[in-house]
Amino acid sequence: MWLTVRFPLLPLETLYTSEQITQEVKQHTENDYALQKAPQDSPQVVIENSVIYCLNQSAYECGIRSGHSLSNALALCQKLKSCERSIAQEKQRLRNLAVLVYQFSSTLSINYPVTGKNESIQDHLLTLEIGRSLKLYQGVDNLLSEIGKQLDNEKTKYQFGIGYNEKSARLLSQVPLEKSLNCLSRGVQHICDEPAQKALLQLICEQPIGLMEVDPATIEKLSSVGFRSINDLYRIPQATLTKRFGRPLCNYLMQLFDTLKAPIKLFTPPESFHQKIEFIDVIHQRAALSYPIKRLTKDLAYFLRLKQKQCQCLYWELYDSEKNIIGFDVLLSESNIDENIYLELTMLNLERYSLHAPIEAIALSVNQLYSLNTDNKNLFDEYGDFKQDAHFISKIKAKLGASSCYQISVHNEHVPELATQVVTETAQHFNESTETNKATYTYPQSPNFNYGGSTAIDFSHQTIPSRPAWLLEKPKPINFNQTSLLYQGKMKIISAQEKVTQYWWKKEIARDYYLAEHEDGTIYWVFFDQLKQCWFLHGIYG
Amino acid sequence: MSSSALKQLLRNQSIWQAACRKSKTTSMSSGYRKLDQSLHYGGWPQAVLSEILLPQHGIGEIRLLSPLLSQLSQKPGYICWINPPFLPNATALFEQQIQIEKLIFIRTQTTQQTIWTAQQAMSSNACSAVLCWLPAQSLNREIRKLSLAVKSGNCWGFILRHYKMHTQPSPAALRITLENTTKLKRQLSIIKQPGGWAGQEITLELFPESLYWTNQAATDWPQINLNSKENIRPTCVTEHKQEVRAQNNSQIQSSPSTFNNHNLSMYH
Repeated sequence: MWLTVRFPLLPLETLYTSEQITQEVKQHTENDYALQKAPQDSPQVVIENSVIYCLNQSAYECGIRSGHSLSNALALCQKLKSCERSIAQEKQRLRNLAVLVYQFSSTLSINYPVTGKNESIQDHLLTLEIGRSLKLYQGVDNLLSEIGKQLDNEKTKYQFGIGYNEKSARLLSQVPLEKSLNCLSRGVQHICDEPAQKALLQLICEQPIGLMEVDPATIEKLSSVGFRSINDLYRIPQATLTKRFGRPLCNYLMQLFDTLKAPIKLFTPPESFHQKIEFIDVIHQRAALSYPIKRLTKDLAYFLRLKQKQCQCLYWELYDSEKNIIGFDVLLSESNIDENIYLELTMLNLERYSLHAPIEAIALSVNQLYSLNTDNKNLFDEYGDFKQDAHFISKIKAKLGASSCYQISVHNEHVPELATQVVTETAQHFNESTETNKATYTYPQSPNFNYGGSTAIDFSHQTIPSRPAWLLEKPKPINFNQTSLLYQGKMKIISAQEKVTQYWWKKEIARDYYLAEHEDGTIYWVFFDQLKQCWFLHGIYG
Repeated sequence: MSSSALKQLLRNQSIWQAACRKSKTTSMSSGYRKLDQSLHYGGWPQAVLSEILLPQHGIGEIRLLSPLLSQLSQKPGYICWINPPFLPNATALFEQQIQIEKLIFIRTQTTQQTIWTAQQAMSSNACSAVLCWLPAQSLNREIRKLSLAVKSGNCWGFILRHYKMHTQPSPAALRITLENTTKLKRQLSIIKQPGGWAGQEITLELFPESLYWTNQAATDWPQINLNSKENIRPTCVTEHKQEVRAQNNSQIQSSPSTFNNHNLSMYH
């Protein structure tokens, strides 16, 4: 049992989405509430090669029909709004709808309008097998209303059709749904069993030949001969039909009458997210970009929720009117799916770019998806504890650049500047490092060294060598006047030397480290470089 | 004043009531007994912005805070260092029992960025402590913002500024100056603190290991020998130096804090 969802106004709705964004942007920029008038009610058409391709109800009421030329249409209605058809965006929208409908059945095929020798499809179609979903949704009525609800949310016009196979469902989606529903066996559930199939076949046979998905020339040929309904064709032997009207028609009819199995190209939901919005009017203001960005992030969040995946990086592309592409990454640290966070981080990132020309289109892609982190979380917030989320880090990174945040790690190195390493990693690692990367370095520790509760520190048993808390990024040369070291005043050495020699096989390091007390009381960490024969300042005991 | 208005006023935590000795403000031990005794809440107060005024960087501010940071790093929550003046030494922080994987350092370019970053970190409720180095300029409005952020994030917030700002008023609730005194001791005075009178002055020994530090005569220091630069083999110098030092200063050799013992064992 198959269901076809037909989207007769999809080309219009696709452009209407862009139109809506333009409206929002206009409201933002001009603050003009007069524009709020719903644009659906005004006559709108989509043109392809200056011929009307798709039109809405009010345009139809003006007398405009598809196939009219644009000048004719404008003569009939002066207020007519027309947009050039955008096939890429239509396909994108249909794929989005397919992802939406995919939750009801995994056997789903997708059809774009084509006009060819073998096949001619008028509208955008989604065809899905629903026989196996009926039990879950307790009947075809429930299932249809559920699908309908989802599609209503997308503000799209649709028609349903039910058939015993893909071709029949596609054909019957052009006739009112009640007719095919009436054919189904009225039992505990609507099931497409033997009598129902016969009834549906009966219904198909009553339909005019114009509804068949065969090329228009064949239909014309058939009607000129005198065929009116499909029933007329049903009674003609196949061999005769093939001889007179060609193989494609015969194959189509055999598939329609279920005597020949039709190959089906199944839809697989995309593994990555890619969407692009082209604006009807260009966008001049940075703040106005938030509207399309909001829409795209909403779509992304929906996509991720359906797939139960998370992403770590959003890639945005802005296309400006000078054919430049501005691309930037937005790094995410949170595993939650939250479109508001995506929007906020994107806007923060966007602040760092200067836009030179008006923006014509915007695209969002997410290529790598990761399975959603399904860690157990506490049901109740523990009072006094801090959240384990790194959202603020991604916010800071978004505003100041990814290199602004770093962590440090201890390395098993003898040379001080190599022992401390700066790690600039994606925020995702901040979370992981706390669990997995727990101190691979084993530094000698005294067991008595413990700051606990209110007891004051007891340093008396301390045996560990003490290092300065601050390091200079690059050791600074200082002077020696035979009696004291000179660095913004005099310094004297107060400790025994600590020798650091390393890497004699590469670039030799031979240093004698000392603690030096400055005359103002600060303790510095200085070393005498044996190779350069010079004193350097390397750290401060902060 | 009506009773409801009074109640509302009393609910404000920043109003100190002499009658109510027990405060709702929680605190954590500073790790220094003297300091804990001087602070009315018995340690560094939570959800309060503390200001530490220093005559220069590196006079013991990390030592002062490290016991707190070490305790906080054992618990959930990040510790943010915003705009630190130098590169923090991982080894030293590790020695001071701070879990360095909890530390996040942020470089900023302008004061405005520093304030914004600090505000984000403090109010995130994901940071247990935020340390923020600010330039020596009047930033009252900005500090007020930060103190509100600390309150909303319920964290330990610290701003570190120059000593010369101590004469100027600041919205930070706890203000401390840290100064050098003679012989490695640090003078700490409380200019302002929540929960009671300020004005305490204490001397802290932030470097207890200084017991083992002794002055070395300049003659024992390595001498610059430019003539025989090529001939010097570092290993020879080491042996020579060690002999000299052993004769001169037997105390250091016997003390457990000698750096050389540790180093030599690492060489082998």
